[in-house]
Amino acid sequence: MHKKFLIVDDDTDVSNSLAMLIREEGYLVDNTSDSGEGALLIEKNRYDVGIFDYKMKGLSGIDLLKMIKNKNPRCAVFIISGTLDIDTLSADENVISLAASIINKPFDIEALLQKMRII
Amino acid sequence: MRFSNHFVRYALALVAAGLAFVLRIAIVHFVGPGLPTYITFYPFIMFVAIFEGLGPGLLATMASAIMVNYWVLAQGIFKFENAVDVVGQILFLGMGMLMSGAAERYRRDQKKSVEAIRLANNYNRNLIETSLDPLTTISAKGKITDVNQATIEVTGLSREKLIGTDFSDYFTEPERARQGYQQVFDKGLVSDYPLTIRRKDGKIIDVLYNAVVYKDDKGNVLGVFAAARDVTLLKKAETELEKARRLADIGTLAATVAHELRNPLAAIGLSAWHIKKMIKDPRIETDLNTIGRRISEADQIINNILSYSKIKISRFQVVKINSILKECIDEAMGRFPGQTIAVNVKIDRTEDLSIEADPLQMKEVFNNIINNAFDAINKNTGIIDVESCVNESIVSILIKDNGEGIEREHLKKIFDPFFTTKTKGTGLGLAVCNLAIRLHNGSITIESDKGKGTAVTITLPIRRQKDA
Repeated sequence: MHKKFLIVDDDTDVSNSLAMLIREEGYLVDNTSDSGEGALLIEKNRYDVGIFDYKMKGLSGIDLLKMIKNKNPRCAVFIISGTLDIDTLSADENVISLAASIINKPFDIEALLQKMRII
Repeated sequence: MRFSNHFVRYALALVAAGLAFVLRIAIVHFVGPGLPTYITFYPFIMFVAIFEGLGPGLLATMASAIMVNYWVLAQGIFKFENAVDVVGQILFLGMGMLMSGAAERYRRDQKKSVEAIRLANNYNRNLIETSLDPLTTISAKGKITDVNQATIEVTGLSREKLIGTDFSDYFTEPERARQGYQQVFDKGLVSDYPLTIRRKDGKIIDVLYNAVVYKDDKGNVLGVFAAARDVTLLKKAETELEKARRLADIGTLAATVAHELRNPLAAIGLSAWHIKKMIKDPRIETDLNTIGRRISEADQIINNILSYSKIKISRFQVVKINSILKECIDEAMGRFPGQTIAVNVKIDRTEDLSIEADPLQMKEVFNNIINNAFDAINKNTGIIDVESCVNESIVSILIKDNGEGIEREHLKKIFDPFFTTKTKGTGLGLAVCNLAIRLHNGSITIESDKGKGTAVTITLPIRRQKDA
């Protein structure tokens, strides 16, 4: 139950609200809306779960995915996608397979929390 | 002058010889003797040869010789008193033959020239008349002097009615036509000058004019030669292109807006969910539920917009198309409860028909059309007929309702993105259907009677087409 989450989404409200929800479920959560800061956090700490927005200024969700998987291959990473289809994401095909799941925005919050619980 | 009747020609030759002889007698009688023997005959022989030909010319020569023989030399036929007369006669015959020959040659050359000119004229005129472009010559005063067949057709008037009239009468903007005409005189030519011709029956035709001044050999301007080119199709294509560009711009804008809306919606959704979790108050529960529900709906609208702009390829699989169809019908009936709408489903023997298609896109198509059918039936009872049948290598699916129908003017635009007559909706449903079906190399047609109902027919190839 003491899984450590890292949430990186460049929309501040989304990042903070999502982090708060997950904290209230009892998890430890770091969050930021700056992907550069996210990279630093990955370097400094060890996370069990990563939730990254796909498209951000600076480093993308995929970049962070690679970084975190490099450091901890067992980390479960969720990519938040604001785009409807997986086509664009499939460009990074090998990388996509590293992600545990794709989450759509706006969120189906119940389903999301459910996913978190069964990791 | 040349008679086609040979008898007449040769008779004329004899008559000419006779006249020559009579003339001789007259001159000798009234003027005096000493007239050279054959002199009056030469002009007449020349005349006959030129106008009637070599044969008659020779006959006139012969007849003249005989007459001279008999009456002038007074010897009888071929009787000569002295050698001079013989030589004289021989020379005369020779001269007569030469003159006839020369005249004949002249006549033949004339005939060849005339024929050559006639052929050249025919050739030129044929080209002018055959030309698809309306050609017109206009005098220095602006009056039509000649037209070709194409001009007759494009104006709807006969040659007689056109010639002599003011050329600018036939355009929707006569003043502009005159300006163009003036330009030709000023600059010597005008090219791609746009004008619109009004035909007699009122139809208008967009054209581009090329016109030049034409001159005689001395360089005097005789008038203007104008050729029109029908650009109706070209203009139509340009309009279509412009429309496509505008739609593409709108599509891109819509997709961008849709995409950008996702973050705000996500943030609102998270907060509303959180409020509901923190405050268990039945007074605000409905409101919070509403917020949640409408966010989903907003998300669905965004999905519609994005799916339209993203439909580029189809992922083909072997699918049971009729099963998908029935699934969509069942789901729709669930979405529109409380209405007694009878849905009659008629699927011919091939219940298990499998075709190569993208199942998600097919579902999208059927959902859209069935929803439209339900929406159209706004009275409480209605009938929707769904039929599916196979014809060789094509499956045809018909979805017919007896709802409010579609206005004729709207039918033309029905597949346009963002076109809708509903107060709710993005107007993308049928646009998406159209795109998806075209990607499958199928077809979709809509027939409708306002107030009576609408029938949508979709055809899909059973096997995937090579270029799909």
